[in-house]
Amino acid sequence: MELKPLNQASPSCPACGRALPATAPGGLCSACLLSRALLSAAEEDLHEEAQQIGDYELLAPIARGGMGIVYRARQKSLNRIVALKLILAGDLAPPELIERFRVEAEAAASLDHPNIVSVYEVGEADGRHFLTMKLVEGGNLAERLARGQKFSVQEAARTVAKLAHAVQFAHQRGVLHRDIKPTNVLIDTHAEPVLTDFGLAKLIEHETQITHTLAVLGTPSYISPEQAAGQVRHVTTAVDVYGLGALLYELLAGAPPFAGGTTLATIRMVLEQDPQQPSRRNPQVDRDLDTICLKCLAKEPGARYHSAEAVAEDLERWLRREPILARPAGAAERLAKWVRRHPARALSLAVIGLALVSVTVVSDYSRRRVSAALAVSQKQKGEIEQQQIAIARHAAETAGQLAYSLELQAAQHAAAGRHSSALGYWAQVLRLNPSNHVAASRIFQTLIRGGFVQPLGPALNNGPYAHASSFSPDGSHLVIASERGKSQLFIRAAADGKLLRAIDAGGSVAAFDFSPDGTKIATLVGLAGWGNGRVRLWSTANGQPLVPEFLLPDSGYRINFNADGTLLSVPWAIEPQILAASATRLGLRTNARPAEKPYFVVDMVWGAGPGQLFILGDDKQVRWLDAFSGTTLARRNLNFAELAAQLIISPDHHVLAARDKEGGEVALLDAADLRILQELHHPQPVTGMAFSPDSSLLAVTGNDATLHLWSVEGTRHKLLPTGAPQAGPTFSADGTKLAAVGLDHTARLWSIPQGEPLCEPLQLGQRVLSVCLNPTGDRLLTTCADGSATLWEANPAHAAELRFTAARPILSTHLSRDGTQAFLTTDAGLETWDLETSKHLTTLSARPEFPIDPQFSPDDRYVLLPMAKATVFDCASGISAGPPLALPAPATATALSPDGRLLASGDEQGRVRLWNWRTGELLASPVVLDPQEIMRLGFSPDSRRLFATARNLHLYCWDSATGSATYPPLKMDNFGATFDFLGDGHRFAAHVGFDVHLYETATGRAEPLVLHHDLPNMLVRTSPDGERLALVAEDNRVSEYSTHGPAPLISPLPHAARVSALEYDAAGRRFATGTATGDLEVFDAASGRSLTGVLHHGRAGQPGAIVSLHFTTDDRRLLSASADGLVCLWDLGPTAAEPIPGWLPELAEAIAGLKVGGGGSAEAPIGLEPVAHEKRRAIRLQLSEVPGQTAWAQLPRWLFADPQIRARSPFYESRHP
Amino acid sequence: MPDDAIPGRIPEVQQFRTTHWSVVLRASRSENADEAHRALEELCRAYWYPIYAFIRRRGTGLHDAQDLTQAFFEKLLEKQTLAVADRQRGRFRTFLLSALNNFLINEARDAKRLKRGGGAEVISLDLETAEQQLALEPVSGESPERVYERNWVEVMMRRVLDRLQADSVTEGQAERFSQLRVYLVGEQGAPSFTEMANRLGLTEAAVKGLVRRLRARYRLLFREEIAQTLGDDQDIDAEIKYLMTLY
Repeated sequence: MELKPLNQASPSCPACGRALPATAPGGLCSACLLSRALLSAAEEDLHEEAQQIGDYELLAPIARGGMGIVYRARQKSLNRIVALKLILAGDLAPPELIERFRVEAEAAASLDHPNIVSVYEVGEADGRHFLTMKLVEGGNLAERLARGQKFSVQEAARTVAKLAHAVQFAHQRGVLHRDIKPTNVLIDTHAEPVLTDFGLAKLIEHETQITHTLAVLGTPSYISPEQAAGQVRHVTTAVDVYGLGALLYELLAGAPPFAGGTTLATIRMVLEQDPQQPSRRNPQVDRDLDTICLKCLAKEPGARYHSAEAVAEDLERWLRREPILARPAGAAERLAKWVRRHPARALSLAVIGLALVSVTVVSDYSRRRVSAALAVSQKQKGEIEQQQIAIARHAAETAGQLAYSLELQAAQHAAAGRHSSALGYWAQVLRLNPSNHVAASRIFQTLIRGGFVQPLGPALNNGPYAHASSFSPDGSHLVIASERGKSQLFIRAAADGKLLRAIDAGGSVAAFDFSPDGTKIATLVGLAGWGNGRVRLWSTANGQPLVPEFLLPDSGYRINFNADGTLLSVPWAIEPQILAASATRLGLRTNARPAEKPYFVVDMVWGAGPGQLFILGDDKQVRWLDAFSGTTLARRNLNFAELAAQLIISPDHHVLAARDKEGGEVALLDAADLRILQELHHPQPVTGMAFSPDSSLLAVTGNDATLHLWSVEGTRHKLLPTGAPQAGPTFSADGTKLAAVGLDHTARLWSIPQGEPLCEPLQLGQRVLSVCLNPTGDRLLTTCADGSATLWEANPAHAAELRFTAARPILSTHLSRDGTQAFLTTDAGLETWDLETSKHLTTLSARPEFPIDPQFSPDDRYVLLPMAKATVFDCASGISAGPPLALPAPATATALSPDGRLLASGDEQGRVRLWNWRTGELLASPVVLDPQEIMRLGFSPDSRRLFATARNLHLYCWDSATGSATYPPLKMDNFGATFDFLGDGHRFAAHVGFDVHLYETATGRAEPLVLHHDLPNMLVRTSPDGERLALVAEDNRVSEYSTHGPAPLISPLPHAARVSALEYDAAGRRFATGTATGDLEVFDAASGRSLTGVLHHGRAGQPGAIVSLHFTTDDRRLLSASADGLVCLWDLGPTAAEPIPGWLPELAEAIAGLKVGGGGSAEAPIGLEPVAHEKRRAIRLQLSEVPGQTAWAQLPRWLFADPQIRARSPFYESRHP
Repeated sequence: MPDDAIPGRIPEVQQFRTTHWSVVLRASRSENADEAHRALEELCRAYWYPIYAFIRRRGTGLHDAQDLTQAFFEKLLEKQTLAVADRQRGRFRTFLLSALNNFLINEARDAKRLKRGGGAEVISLDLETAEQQLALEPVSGESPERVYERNWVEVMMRRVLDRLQADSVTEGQAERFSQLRVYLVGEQGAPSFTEMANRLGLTEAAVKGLVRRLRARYRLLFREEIAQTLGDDQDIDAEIKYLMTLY
């Protein structure tokens, strides 16, 4: 327990040397702060940074771009003037990005073309990245357009044609530009256009969200639809063709093709609308030029010119007045374009809400509308059908693009632990595509695991600014005090919030307190610091005033009854007011003005004794004052550097806690003699504190977004991160829960015994002023700045996974086929557990001797443990089931055939034996050439073949009946080779180091397909049908391949730590990964998207590496086991086969309290807004009675069930009817 | 490329026609009167401390000082004041001080004493903090006006720092802000960027970038704050340069 050294006020400012007074704001020198404010940004930059970077001397800034600042600079060694671009993002990008940028920039530097800016050097100095290029002194095209320079159509065509040739040149050398727009076209002194900033847009590609792209690229008017949609994998040379088209468009029409009022609006236009023909804006533009321009701007990359060269050629043809090759849009395409330009008129097809994939979903009504609008003839009906297919597909794509960005946001919020926000986004994703089973699965998992607390009853309206609330001591009443309005004190029934009395107290109620027996309420009326305070006593039962009002000589901000309810205290200034409360009147008991030097009363609390008052003074002393005599009986100096702020006393009146205002200091004092027991230090100012009901803990909230739990006795200390600063902590009466106000418009609840949040933060959507728990701890009340109060049930629905702990660390697991039992292999033997009851059944004591999984007979009755004696045990009895085998030497590898009949053993000398383990009979002795230690043995799924790998890098295959070799041994490259059978066993995969080789089992013939990975493979698994193969590489990414072709099926999935377990489900539709830090995740095998988000297997702070994952045979649950012995069984929810109910998005939003809102800003194109209280209630009423027994129907019933009778999980009932 | 497209770069605030003091100055036209009154109230709410300190430093007792301060603001917020302000055309800082001097002279002459708690709440004063601040002030032989102006600067700085702090809390970066704010005055006397990078778990380059951004934001907020007290045709830089002469 260290004492913090007293602040040594430094006498002078280290920067300017002037005296630094104690009044310096924030401890900073005012003079320096002033002079800093005087500098402009550019001057600041130059003032700060060395004006030298490596070999270059910065002369003056020329321009600012999305990537950085461009300076005029002098290259000292060559004494020439160049343009130097400082990359701003270089400060903050991770090293691999910088590397990618360099590679790209160096490729661009190699481009030598008259219309491409020559890049001289790509370098780095002082941690800053820059590139230098030829200085082009004519400014850029955007500046000229802004100045109003007009281009003739010929000039426009010539310019773009030249640039198109330059772009083609770059494409042929493998460099994409990605960001063609007027600011990137420089004009040199010969009026030639020069393209700059090649490939720099790749720097921001690591974040594929639209938001970040926009933030850096600025206006999205010029980016291609596929870039706007964030589909960076589909970015090809076509985006540059689009860019050329956008450039041409602006030169012809005087404005970019799309310019909405906001970034979001522009993006929508880029994705959804067709640009107006340039000829409409500029009569000089003829039809052919229109066609060229619009062909570049086609939404479909495939519909554009297939190369930049083609664009140049058509433009040159036009300049020569020859016919161009591009054809104008046909009638069908024109119709599609018409529909796109007038989405409202063409109905809702192209916009949010519907994802149509087949024309049959188009309603008759809309079909008729479209037909009517066009007055079509019979002949054109066929074309209309075609049109509707195109419209429907386009709608699907558009909705898909929006859904994609929403999914990204949802995943990010989920990864950050903001589950309410994630739910809001998932709900909208599901709305856009009602068959998106990934979104449905994520919603399900979040709902059952999230622990969301639901509002009860309607919002309660009280006067404006309801700043204080409390339940009565017996929990029957609820009192809320507000500052303004006709009534300021509201007495409500605690059960449902029904208003019993609205009291006009005659002014703002600054504070109130219940008498210890709860029958009376004392109110202090009047705003602190102004005017006289008035004290009143009211009956809790009927809200009637009990005694005449008492006028104080001054105002106050708190009022408290003492322990026996006879006295009231009102701390104020230097004259704390003590009132005696009798049945008939309030009288001033004493004017406790101490005789000593006056001090301000910062705070005061009653002690246990009748007149015992503890006062915290502004002189940083705590005093024990006798209220009757006014004498100070004891005092203690606190070591606070900052102002004192608050004093509280523990419920047993033994300990006082005092805190300061801004220094984060809390002192604990013994109430008996004011001895300082502890000094607690916090990194940020403390905003509130509270003692637990048993007086053993002190909860402290602060600006550091952490809840500190201090033990009053020892120094045991728990830190609970909260995600946002909190204030006003309050315990439940049994001390198991803690509630606090979140300064981010939320309220939060924690479970004290578990040391974790009890539920997701409660979203209020506005400033929360107070929060209180009822005495039984099952109800929570929040009051907000608009005067509304909400009652919440304080017991969230939380599906508890089945968990149990084995006696010893676990090496591997096996699930019985009927899913009722789990077999855990530990270093001491085999433990059998019943999954239904999570009871330990038996333990088989036998130490596994080599690192291979035990193998079970098909009926799970017998198990072969990896032991040198190659013994098969009876699982139930734990004794060996067959006679001891006459092994020539201790086994180094063993295997049990899948049909349970045969046992294979191999030893250090390369001797392999096949046994009938029941009888002990030796059946065969396969021959191993050049005998070496046997590493691994395995049978094919049909039990007909036995495989072995030996230390001499060979793989053997024998007939298991005869022991004769099926084919000569296969040579492997690496003796770490392991093998896996695919599906039914016709093929097997051998994975060695970097490669996975596939073979035909029967012949041993290697298939031509070799899956080569860049990094060593650590773990390989195949799907049960043998079609897919997942592997984990050294960089902790999981890749999935088809076993028939080399192309990966999904993008590699990164993991935060080493992946220690990987498993497919029985249907091969999902796979689960587990990491060395105890995280697991289930993925959709086809798309690689996460179905569950990251699940945490272990206890926080004690992660054990996951050693084993098993899906139950019905694929409904997943078992995970970690090395430290913990086993969990997870509910995976409804399978993909079950239809997703239409109400699921609304349920998600109602539970989360957040939904995707309307517009947005440039920072967040689509943001969240709170769901109205009434709406949440309506959904609850509607869905708590959903009929049916499907898995989905059980979900809302379970969520809204009465906490007293709520089952452990939505599916518990179905398993235990 | 528009400035607002660059990350961390906030466009310079437009300082015409919407700052509080310029609104007050235009109050001669009756239709702006309410708006002007509100603007004046805002300014008084922010900058009452230099007034209170000025009064206390003259030797006035605590309670009397409180009375006087409230009475002064009450008088100030009467409608006639706005007409005077229009003619004066100064800065709010100078206007306030001259108004206070006039008020105190009148008070002494009339020997009227307001009863405590008699008036309506005008401006809520945080007296505890004010007294604390006063106690910390160094005793100097300077003129009360000079000290007033220095208090003015301190109030302004404090408001800006509070806003920066509040912003950082909203962004969830309060800890980072508390570490980095020391760089608002430069790098001397502060931990090296390397050490700060270690402390925060960032790269040194990232710390530099954050500091740059923080400074830019500080600049913006500070200039905004000063602009509120200036009229349309007054130069922010000139005001800052003047205030620097106080040190």
